[in-house]
Amino acid sequence: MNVKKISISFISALLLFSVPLFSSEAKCKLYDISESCAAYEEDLDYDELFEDDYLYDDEDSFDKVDEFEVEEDKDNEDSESSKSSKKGGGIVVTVLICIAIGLIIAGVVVGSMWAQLKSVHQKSSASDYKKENSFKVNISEDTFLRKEVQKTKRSS
Amino acid sequence: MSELIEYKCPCCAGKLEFNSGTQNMKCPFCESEFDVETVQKYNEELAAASAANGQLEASAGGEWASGETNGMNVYHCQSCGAEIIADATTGASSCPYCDAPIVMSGTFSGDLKPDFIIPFKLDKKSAKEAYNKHLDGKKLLPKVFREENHIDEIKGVYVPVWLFDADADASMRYKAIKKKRWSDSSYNYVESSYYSVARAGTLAFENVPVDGSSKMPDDLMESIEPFDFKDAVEFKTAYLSGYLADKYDVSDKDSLPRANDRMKKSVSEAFRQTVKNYDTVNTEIENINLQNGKVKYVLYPVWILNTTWQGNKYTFAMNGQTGRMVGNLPADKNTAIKYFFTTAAISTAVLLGLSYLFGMM
Repeated sequence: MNVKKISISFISALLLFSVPLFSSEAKCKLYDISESCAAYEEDLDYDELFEDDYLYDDEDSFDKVDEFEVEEDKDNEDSESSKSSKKGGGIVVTVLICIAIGLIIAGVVVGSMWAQLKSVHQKSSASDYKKENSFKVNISEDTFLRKEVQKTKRSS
Repeated sequence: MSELIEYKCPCCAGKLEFNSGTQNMKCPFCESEFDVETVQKYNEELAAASAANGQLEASAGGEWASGETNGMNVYHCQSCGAEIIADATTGASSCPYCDAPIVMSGTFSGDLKPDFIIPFKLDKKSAKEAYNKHLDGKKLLPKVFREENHIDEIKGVYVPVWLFDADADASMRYKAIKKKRWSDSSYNYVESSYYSVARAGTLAFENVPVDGSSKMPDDLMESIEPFDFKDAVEFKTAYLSGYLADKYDVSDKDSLPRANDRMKKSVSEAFRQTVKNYDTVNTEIENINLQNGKVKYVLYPVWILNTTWQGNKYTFAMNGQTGRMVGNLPADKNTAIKYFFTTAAISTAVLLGLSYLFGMM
């Protein structure tokens, strides 16, 4: 098997599938839905989230729910307009990323085709001409000198 | 005037050539085969008989001016009488008029006689097949390199080579570091243990080749290595028949530094590989002595093809013993640009499609 061809295919596949991964992270940030991305975090207090909205045995609960619904509608309108502008920006970024990765893949492929054309290289050593069983190591000593320990504070 | 040797078939008087397939001398006309020694003996008897009959070749024409033939030798083809002017280093060739294979005996006689020769194992057909295989899959190659009539110009050449033997005595010292890493809740720790490593020993080399011809690029000859010296035989001029051959023009003394460099590099690598289980190893002291040096003068078989494209010369070489083919090829820039933009467009389209499928757009 041609090692060069395998490595080039691997790099190209890696670059090819890195776009969806990269874009999914970008999308999380653009839409600011970090809470839903971290839906299973232990720190979220689920009791607190639902505390005020679903106490049906409370007399005022229906008013509260109505207020909540009105507020919710207002929030939805605002978020939809910001969503569309953010979505447009996201498409542009994705297209630019796709073009950049496409150019990198093309560079890697054409570079490997170019490298295939060169086969003349000067030999650096004479390892093919070693006499059989002639390599003898008469002295082999590993002497311990000293030890050093470096410690660096961990970033929290 | 240098003497030319032609090996004639005892059956039909055709010009014998060395056949790489059978390792014998073969007549291309009547297809008779003969042992090399038998042909050599027959040829000597024939030459003696010709001399006894007073058959001398007469030359015609004017005389060369003084210094005009420096670096050249002038030969007469015994088949057609043509006067051939060849480089002083040329040992075997073919007559440009009648294509008879010729061997210049003076080039390989006396002190200039090679010690050994590795005869051709692969014929011209194998060389052409190897060349076509070398071009396969090279999408950026210009089309002129694949033209059949040009490939037919491939020639078998015996390249003069110096082979060096030596014993290396080495003493090395290294600085080595072992690292250990661990962490606790507050800190990361790196423990570095420093060692002084000493190694000493011996390593022997045999038949390290160095190209003895200035006409043959050194890197090209090294690229088609290795040659197996087990197939080498005692030199006889009959092996040269049907091929081109040159004598050396780079002396063994001038070739020695290259052989020394290669041997020292091998010794250094061999001892470095004995230093194991360290994260970092730096060479501190390297002391390598080469002793008991011997040198041999040998002819190695190589199939060569020269191509000129856009004013540049491209040389391809195939090891005439093992079949290894090398040669730098030019790239057609227009084809490269075409492939670049096509690949970029297809990759971009696929990535955009995938992004759409994953709901990114």
